[in-house]
Amino acid sequence: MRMTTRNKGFLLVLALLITVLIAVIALGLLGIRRGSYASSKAVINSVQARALARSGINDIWVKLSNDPFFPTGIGDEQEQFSYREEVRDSNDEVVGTYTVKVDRAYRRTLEVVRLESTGRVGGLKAESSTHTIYAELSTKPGDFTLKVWQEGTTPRI
Amino acid sequence: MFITFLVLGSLVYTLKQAGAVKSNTRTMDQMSEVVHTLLLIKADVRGALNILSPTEGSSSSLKLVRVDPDLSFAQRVDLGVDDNPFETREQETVLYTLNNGVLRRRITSSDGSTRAERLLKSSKFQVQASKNPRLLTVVLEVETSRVKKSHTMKVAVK
Repeated sequence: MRMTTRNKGFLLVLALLITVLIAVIALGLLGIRRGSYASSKAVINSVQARALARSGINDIWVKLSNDPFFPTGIGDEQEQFSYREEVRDSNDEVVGTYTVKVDRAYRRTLEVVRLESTGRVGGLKAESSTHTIYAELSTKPGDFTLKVWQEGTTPRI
Repeated sequence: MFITFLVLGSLVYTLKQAGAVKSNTRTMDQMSEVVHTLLLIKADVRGALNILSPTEGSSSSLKLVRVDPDLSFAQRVDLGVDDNPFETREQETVLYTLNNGVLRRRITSSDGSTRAERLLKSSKFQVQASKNPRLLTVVLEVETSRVKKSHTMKVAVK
């Protein structure tokens, strides 16, 4: 079939239109993927922050089980104290930090120590996500267990 | 002709990718719900004063007692007859159960008031308790559009 002079270049225009359409769809897809990557990163950061907070509680549990009077050098009259530790990966890069607060006001009377650990992802200047765990540790002889464990709380101590 | 096929081929490829992105996003949303539910169960078991059911063997529900998180420590010390911060009146019961294909979390306070949460659609919820070591194995089965996916989690009981 022979094309008339008026139909010349028809395919070229059609190809151009479809190319523009594909470019628009592709840009839309890129936008969706960007949002998807951002949400994945946020999920990873929140899981990481939770793991750091758990590390803090485990850390103070071990310290108190080794030494009920931890930290040595602080008098009994000081009821609350806190410390912060950095967590590094196998490449010695900072994963994040955990801050542990300890309230030992009821250690003698009720045999309970209140603990709070906040995990923060990234270094001090790159805090992107935090997670706080509140716990109550029984210091009764033979019952050195966490009686209360509340995750995702606002700071209480 | 070559240009036409090239363009149409690109269009098909782009649309396929769009379908994959949509499907993966839906799967990720479902997975997030499952992970959130499993972490919630894990946190509840971790903070439980006592696991009421199951104590041994398997069960289709999980019942535990924990300290009421709405009460601050100071309130718990002041409210009770004695200073014990773990009195019965300061506790609440949490029950996970499958009801009409939906996993629910029902919380009953010591005053009898209850509140229920719908967690996610699930076709199976099973909790297996073992005594030595003290472990709970939680199995959660979720149906996607094509397949059933089973998620298992082990939680240590103090």
